[in-house]
Amino acid sequence: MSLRIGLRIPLLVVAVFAGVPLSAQDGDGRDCVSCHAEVEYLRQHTATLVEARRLQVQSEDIAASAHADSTCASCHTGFRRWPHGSDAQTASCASCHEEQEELWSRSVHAEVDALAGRETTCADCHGIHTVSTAEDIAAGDALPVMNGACVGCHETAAMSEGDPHADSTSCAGCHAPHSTRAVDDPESAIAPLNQLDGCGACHEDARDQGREDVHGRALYGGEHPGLRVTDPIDPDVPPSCTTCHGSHGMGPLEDAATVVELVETCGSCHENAAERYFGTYHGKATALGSHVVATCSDCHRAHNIFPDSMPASSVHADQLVETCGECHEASRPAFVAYDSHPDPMDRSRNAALFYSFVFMNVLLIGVLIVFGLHTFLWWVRIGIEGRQAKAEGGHGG
Amino acid sequence: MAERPTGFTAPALTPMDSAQRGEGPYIWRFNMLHRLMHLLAILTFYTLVLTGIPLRYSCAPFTAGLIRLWGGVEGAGLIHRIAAGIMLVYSVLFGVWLVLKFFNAEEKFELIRGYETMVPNLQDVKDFFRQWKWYFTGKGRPRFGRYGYLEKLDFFGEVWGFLIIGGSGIILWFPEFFGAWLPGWWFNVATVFHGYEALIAAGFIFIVHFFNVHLRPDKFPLDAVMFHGRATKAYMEEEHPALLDDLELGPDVPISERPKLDHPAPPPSTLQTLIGAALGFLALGVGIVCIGMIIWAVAFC
Repeated sequence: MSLRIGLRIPLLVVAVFAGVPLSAQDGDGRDCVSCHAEVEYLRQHTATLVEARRLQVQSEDIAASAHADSTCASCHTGFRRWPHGSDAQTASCASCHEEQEELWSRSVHAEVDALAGRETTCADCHGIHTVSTAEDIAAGDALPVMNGACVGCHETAAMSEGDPHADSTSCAGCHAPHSTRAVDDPESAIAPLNQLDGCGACHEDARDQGREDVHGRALYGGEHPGLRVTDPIDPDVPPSCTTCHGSHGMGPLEDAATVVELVETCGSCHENAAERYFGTYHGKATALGSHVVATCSDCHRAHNIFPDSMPASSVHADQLVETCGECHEASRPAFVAYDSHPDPMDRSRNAALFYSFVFMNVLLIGVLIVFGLHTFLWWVRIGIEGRQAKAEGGHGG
Repeated sequence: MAERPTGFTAPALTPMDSAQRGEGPYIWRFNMLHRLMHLLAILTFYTLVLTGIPLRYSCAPFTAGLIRLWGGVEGAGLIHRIAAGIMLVYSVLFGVWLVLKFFNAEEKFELIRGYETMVPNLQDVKDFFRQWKWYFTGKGRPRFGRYGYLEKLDFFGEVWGFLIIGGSGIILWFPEFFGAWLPGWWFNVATVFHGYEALIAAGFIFIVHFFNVHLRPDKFPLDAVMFHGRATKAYMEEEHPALLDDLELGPDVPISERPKLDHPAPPPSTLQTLIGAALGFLALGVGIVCIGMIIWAVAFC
């Protein structure tokens, strides 16, 4: 690096005195920009002003671009001699960026272009002389511009307000810029099996934990021994990152609403567990939109969920005292006999709860029947007596 | 104390109040303590129901709005606990008052077995079955004394509910304390008892009590006796005829001639009638809304 800077200093000095940016010089030392910066000059050699403008190059653009170190002739291979003709060839980007070109040609965008009979060029996203680096193309002020370009076609994919990725992540950050593919394409960067690598590029902890827990094993195979899943697994809903977190409408995790929604998400697969949970105080308070009590992930964790038979599980018998103790000071072996997913109709699960439930139901139904009838029949009797009194009154009158 | 019911100065409301029907004179039916207890019971019970419904039926569509009214789960929980605390205080004080009354009474036997007693007895069981017989045959309608089985049922139903809901509620209120010496599944059991007994209590008050006391056709739309405390002799003759027998008086003799026993009362003033009707209709309305919400929620959950 220091060597390159060392080489550039004398060149810079020359460039400053010549009034021409270093980056615009071609390999032969000829100065392309001295002509191409001047639209009046270009106008003399072109048919229209529009064409002249198209040929205009600002040396500052080149200097600030990813190609600052390239020469004009690196891309414009047909323009090595001057004066040059107007029919000389321009090299394709693939001459350097072979991999990107190849990925693009197999992407869903190339497919759509072929169907629509149009061609999306590299420059459409990257610009021509202002060509940006991968890091700069969707960062800072450029991010909303770039994402706006994607949303221009993909209208429904716009990030909702408050989505933690909205102001920090480009579309390409998740969708792979050159090899964008549909979500159901197994080669897609956002295919369920590839999400752990894609999302994990930033979310390293989640990636490292997620591959080994119940959901990771369900996704990549090799289920943990002792796994009891009371709810049937839907093969169409593989437990990948987006299955729980969603994609374009994620809420910030700091928001209670996001956590509460996550419970619904867990419940969309774990229906039995959710239904029972919603019968408890934890579940009811959570269902009302409050995160003051335990939700699924508070007890089961998020990316390191294990079967309760495994000591590593936060809900293993040996771990429960500690896990419940995060909220409940009284947590001790007897305390954690609390059933967070009670089924009062299952006698084998807890006989005391079962008989309490039966007793209260009998009492409720008994009271309603006896006193419902007591009420209804009283009303009927008053009606009968009222009619009788009227009839007798009629006779007397 | 020889007032006749000439002071009828709230013509629009008086006919609605079935406690003021027919001929006077008025007699005291409920004293200030009874009425204060009943008012406190309304205020606290309604608060408990309205803050409890959203949690009991968190799956129903209207509970999100109702819980917002209370300031979310935390707000509703706080208000629920404050109301429960007030109920606990007045219930215990009333219990203490009852015990003191018993020990200070000169005739303890009279207090338990006399015609003014609230203690259930064999007569109540007989009256209960007579009532059913009357429904089906139209004959032998029970003649209630000062307190019939309906009043006793209301009172002891509330005592039962207070013990069950209050006991389970306190367990759920202090999981840290009770969790230190009770197995955790007690909280599961307490949740079932709390929720179901609350449902029974609400159903009993808002359907059975409302009908028996206010909405049955011969009392409709309101009986404000518990708000202003007094009722006409005509009312007492129809609702509590055995009281007259107990007083060893014929039905033609104005009962206010026995002031020591039957507490003659001045007619309620316009303001008292107005307050009684306002409180009564407000309580009826809110109660009907409550039971409506419960039925709606049961249909949804």
